[in-house]
Amino acid sequence: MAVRVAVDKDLCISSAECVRVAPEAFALDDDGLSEPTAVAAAAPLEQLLDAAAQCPVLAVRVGGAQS
Amino acid sequence: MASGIALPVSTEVVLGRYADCQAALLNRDLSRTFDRRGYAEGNVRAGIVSTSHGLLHRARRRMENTLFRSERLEHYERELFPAVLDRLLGRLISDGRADLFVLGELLSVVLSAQRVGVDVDPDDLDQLRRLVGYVDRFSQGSALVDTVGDAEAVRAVVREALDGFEADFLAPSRWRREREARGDLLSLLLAHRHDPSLGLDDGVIVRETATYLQGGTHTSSQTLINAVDLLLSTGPGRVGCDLGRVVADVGYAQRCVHETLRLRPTTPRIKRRAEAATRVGAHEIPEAALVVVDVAAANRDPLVFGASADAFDPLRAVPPRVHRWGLSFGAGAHQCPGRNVAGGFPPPDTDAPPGAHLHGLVALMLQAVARLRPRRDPARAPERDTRTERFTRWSSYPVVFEGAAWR
Repeated sequence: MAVRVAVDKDLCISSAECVRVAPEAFALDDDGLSEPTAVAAAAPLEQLLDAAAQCPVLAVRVGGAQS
Repeated sequence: MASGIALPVSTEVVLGRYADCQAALLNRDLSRTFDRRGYAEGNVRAGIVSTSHGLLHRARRRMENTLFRSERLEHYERELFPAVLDRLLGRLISDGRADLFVLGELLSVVLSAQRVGVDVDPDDLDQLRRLVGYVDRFSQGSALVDTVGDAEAVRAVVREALDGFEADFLAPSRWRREREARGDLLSLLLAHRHDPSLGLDDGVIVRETATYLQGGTHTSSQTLINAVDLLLSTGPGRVGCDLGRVVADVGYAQRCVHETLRLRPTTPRIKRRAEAATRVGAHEIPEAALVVVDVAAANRDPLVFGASADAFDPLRAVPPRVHRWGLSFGAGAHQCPGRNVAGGFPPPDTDAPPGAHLHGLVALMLQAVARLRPRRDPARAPERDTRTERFTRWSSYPVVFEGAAWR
């Protein structure tokens, strides 16, 4: 089953926790806000869920639902 | 004599279950904008990021969070702080004795000052003590909602401290950074001071710098004390506590710090104001209600931390994606930005690359103190900080060191 990864940029406060936990799946854009990389969906699900859980504002969505 | 401050509220809702407390901290209708006259105006909290809300808060955090990237934290932990410990720790011990409150603050303030952009000579103890004196007064202001004494008197103390801090430390530091930016908070604030979305003026710049300075100093020292106190305690409620293992294993030292934070959060009750009617779990919360998030209770919720929730067990298992420190660093948009500096990264599972992990500065301080084999000073009893309702705080914790390393 394909995993969907998204970041709500309105919520993002640029803590970069998602980048720290899953550096292959997330990167900061030119404004310093997180966004999924092109290969984010291929990252291990546990790592993506960890990244979502570490986000202080729950801006990271995995599989279409907030963690 | 009036004590504390009266927050004008229609209702007070107290939350104590972990799930409810976490939900409240994540709820965007619950703000830190308390009665401005009572809490913010004339206080170190006026206009700072911690009391901001909505778009202003988001903009300020987005800018300031750039100071807490992993690369910087690695530099603090692997290079700067060990040098501070080497340079300073021995000088803070006299005849094999020290006050951990003083020691912890003096060690923490050096790096905190560097992060925020306050220039100080780490070899000048008198200057460090003067800076810590300001930090202590800013801490009183930051905790004004929980003060036991006369709130007006606290505000007066804070205003005087802000004036002294600005003249003594901030103005010369600012002068240098207006000529050459240095990648610290003050430089960042000065570079963005004309951005209308950030709400910065000269007063806010002073208070923001003062708050980050205090945030990186006072609570680290309090956690160090509480960790030592828990490790030295005897009797039931302690599982596998081992000061010797703290010395040998920095990973264990970190787990001790996290367990200390869980049991003794430096802000045991976090307060929020309902900007609009909202709901948290089964609780209906009317607009303008004061919501008290009882972190001390949430961190001992048996539904999350099990039947042994009250025990000090640094190696306890916690549910997946629950922080070992519970909610002690908060959650949501106002989560402590210095969490990873002080507490390090969440401990890795067994197959994580060890080189990438950071243990946090409090774990390093704890390990350094543990090497000296501290015990409570039999001639001088520790003292709780009775100026505040934050019952996990100390004003003095004298120890004697049995280890020979300090000589």
